Amino acid sequence: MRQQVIRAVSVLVALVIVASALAVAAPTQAQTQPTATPPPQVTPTQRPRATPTPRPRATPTPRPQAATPTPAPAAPSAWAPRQLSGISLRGSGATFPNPLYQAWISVYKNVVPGVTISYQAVGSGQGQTDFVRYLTDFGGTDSVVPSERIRTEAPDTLHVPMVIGAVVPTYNLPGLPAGTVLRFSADTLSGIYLGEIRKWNDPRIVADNPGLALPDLDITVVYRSDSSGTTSIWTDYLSKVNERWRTTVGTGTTVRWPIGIGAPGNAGVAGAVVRTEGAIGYVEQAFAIGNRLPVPAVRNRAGNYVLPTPEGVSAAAAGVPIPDDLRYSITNPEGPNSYPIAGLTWILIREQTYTDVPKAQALTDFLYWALTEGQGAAVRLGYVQLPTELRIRAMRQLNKVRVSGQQVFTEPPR
Amino acid sequence: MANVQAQTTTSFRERLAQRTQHGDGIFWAVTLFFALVVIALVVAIGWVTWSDSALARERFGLGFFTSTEWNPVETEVSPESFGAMPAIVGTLVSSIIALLLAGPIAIGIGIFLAELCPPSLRMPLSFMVELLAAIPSVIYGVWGVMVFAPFFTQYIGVPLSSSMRDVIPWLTSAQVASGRGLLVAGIILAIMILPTIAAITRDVLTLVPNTQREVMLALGATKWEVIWLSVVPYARAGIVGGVMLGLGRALGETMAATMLVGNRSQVPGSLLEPATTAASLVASELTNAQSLLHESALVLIALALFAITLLLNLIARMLIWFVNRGPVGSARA
Repeated sequence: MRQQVIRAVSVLVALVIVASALAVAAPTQAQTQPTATPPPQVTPTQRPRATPTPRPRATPTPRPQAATPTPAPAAPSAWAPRQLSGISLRGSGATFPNPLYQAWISVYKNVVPGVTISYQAVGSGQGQTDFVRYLTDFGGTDSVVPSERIRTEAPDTLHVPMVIGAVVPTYNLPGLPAGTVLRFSADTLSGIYLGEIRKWNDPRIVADNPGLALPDLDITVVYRSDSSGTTSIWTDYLSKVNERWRTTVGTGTTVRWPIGIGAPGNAGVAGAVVRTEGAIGYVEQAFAIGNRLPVPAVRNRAGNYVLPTPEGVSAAAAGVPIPDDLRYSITNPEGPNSYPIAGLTWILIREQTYTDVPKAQALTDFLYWALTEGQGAAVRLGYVQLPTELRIRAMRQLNKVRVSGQQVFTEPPR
Repeated sequence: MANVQAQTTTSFRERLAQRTQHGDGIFWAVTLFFALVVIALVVAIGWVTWSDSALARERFGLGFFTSTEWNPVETEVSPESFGAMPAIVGTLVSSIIALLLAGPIAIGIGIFLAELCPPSLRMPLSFMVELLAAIPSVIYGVWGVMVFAPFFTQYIGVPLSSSMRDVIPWLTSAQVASGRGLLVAGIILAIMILPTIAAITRDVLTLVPNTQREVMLALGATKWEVIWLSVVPYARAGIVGGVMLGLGRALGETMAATMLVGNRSQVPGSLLEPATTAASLVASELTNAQSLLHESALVLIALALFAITLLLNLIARMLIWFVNRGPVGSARA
C-alpha cells in the first residue's frame, strides 16, 4: 500500500516538474515577443541540440568549404549543398506540408549527414508564433504572417513559397449515376456555405448541372472545427467570389460560419461527409485523392469548370501577379485552366537576425535543395509544384539572408 | 573530536536508534512537500491562465461571460468579438445531460455489484466496469461517430425532430441529419462517465460496515430497506463524490466532445443542434489562433472552465457537508 502511494506520488512530482517548467516558460515567451528588433544573441537559436556527429562545431569562419565533397545525386546545375557538420535546425508550423517536409528532411540527411533538421507540425499559427518568438530557426505556414505582425514583431521575416496545395469540395449525394462529376460555380458554393441554398435541387445547383436529376435533399454543410490553413484558403476563395461572404464572414483560419457543423481535421470532415447523406465539405486535395472522395469541378474566373489537376493548380499560381515579398493569395486567379481554390505554403526565414553563419548556410542550402531536387518528392506525394517563375523568385529570397551584413547563400548560375 | 569518539563507543542498538530517529521527520517533510506541490500546481495553472488572458479581460471585461458572439475574423459589418456564453452553455448542458442519464444507472450498477450480485458474477462484472472506466475517451468518440451517431440520427433524431417541430422547439433542428449535436454528445458523455460513477459507488458501498446491515436485518427489514435506509445513506458522501468525479470528467472531456458536439460557437436553440464545449473550443482553435486577442480569449475560456470546475467541486463539498449533518453524522466512506 505504502509503495503504491510512493509510486503515485513520484509520478505526480514528475508531472508537477513538467507543469511548473511550462508555467515558467510561458511568461518568458511573452516577454520576448513584443520586442521589435530582437537582440543579436538570442539563446534558442544559439543552442544546438545534441547531434549524432560528436565532432566539434565548425567555427564561424566565413565559408567552411566541404572537406570531402560527396558525389551529389545528379544536380540539375551541378550544384551541391555545402557539407557542414554538427548543425541542427529546428522548425515548426503548418501541418499541411508536413509529410513533404518530413520526406525532404529524411532524404536531406543522406545528402548532408552533418545537418540535422527537425520540423514539428503544430499548425500555422503556432509555427508563426514560435518563429517570431525565436523558438525555431524556420517556420512553416499556410497563411502569410499579417503585415502588422511583421512590422511589430519580426520585421526581417522572409516568405519562401515551397509548394501549392489545392482545397477541394467533396460531397455525399446518393443516387447519382456512376462517374458523374458534379459541377459547382462560385455563386453556388458561396450560397451553400452562406445558408442561402438549403436543398440539393435548388435552381442554382441545377443550373450548374444541366441534365442531372438532383434529389430533394437537405444540404448539410460541414466545415473544419480546428483552425487551419485549409479553412483559410477556402474562406479566402469565398470572400473573393462573394461580396456578402466578404463583409459578413471574412477570411481566417476559423470564422463564424453562418451554417453547418464542424468536424476536426481533414479526416473528420471527410468522415462526417461520408456518413451524412446530402453533406458537403471541403478537404485538402491530396487527402481527397488518397481517399477516393468525390471531387467536383469548380467554375473558375474565366467561366470554365475545372478539376483540380496538377496543371490546373499550378496554372493558378501563375495566374496572379507575383508581389515582391511573395506574400499573396492565389485563389480565384485569371487563366482559362486555373483551378480557383488553392494556396501556397511558405517557409519563414530571417533576413538579418541569424547569428550563426554555418546555421544560416545550412538552412539556405536545404531550402534551395528543396526548391530544386526536392520538387520531385513533392509531386510524388501529391503536392503541386510551383510554376517556374515563382520558383525562381523563391530561390532569390535565399540570396537576401545575411549574418552580420555578410551574404550566406549565393544562387548558382542557371 | 570528542563527539566522534563518544559516538563510536555507543552500542549498536543506540547507534541504530540514532540513525533512524530522523526517519519519521524526513518522511513527514517529504510528504508535506508533495502535498504542497499539488497546491503550487493549482496556483500555477490559475496564474498562467489569468496572466495570459489579460488582453481579453481588458477588452471585454465581465461582459465576456455573458456575450454570445464568437467571431474571430474582423469584417466590414462585424467586429472581432469573443464571448464565453456559447461554450459555457454547451459545456453545462452536455454535462448535465450526461449526469442525468448516467447518475441513476451508475448508482444502480454500483448497488447491484456491492449488495445484490451473486458472488460468481461479481468479479467479472466489476472487472468489466473498471475496464470500461479505463478506455480512453477518443475510443468513445470514434464509436460515437461511427456507430452511435448514425443510429441515433436514423431512429431517434430525425423522428423526434420531425414530430416535435411545432410542439417543443428545443427538440427539433434543421441540421439533425449530420448526427452531431448536444444531445448525442451528452449521451456519449453519459456512457463515458457511467463506469466512473459505478465503480466508485461500488467501492464506497463495500466499505460500509456490516453492522449497518446486521442492525437493519435484526429489526426485520427487507433487502430493499437495508440498502435504501441503511447502506446507501451511510455511503452517500462517497456516492456524491463519485458523481462529482463523473461530472468533472464530462466537463473537461475534449476529444469525444469535439468529435460529436458539432463545434458551432453559438448558443444552440435546441438539444439536437450543433454546439460547442469549452474544452473542445480551446483545443480546436488555440493552435492556429487568428490573433493575440483570439488566443487570449481562448485562454480566458480555459480559465472559465477552471472556475466552473472549482465551483462545482465546492458545491459538492458543501452538499456532502450538509448531508453529513444528518443522523448518520460522522459517516465517512
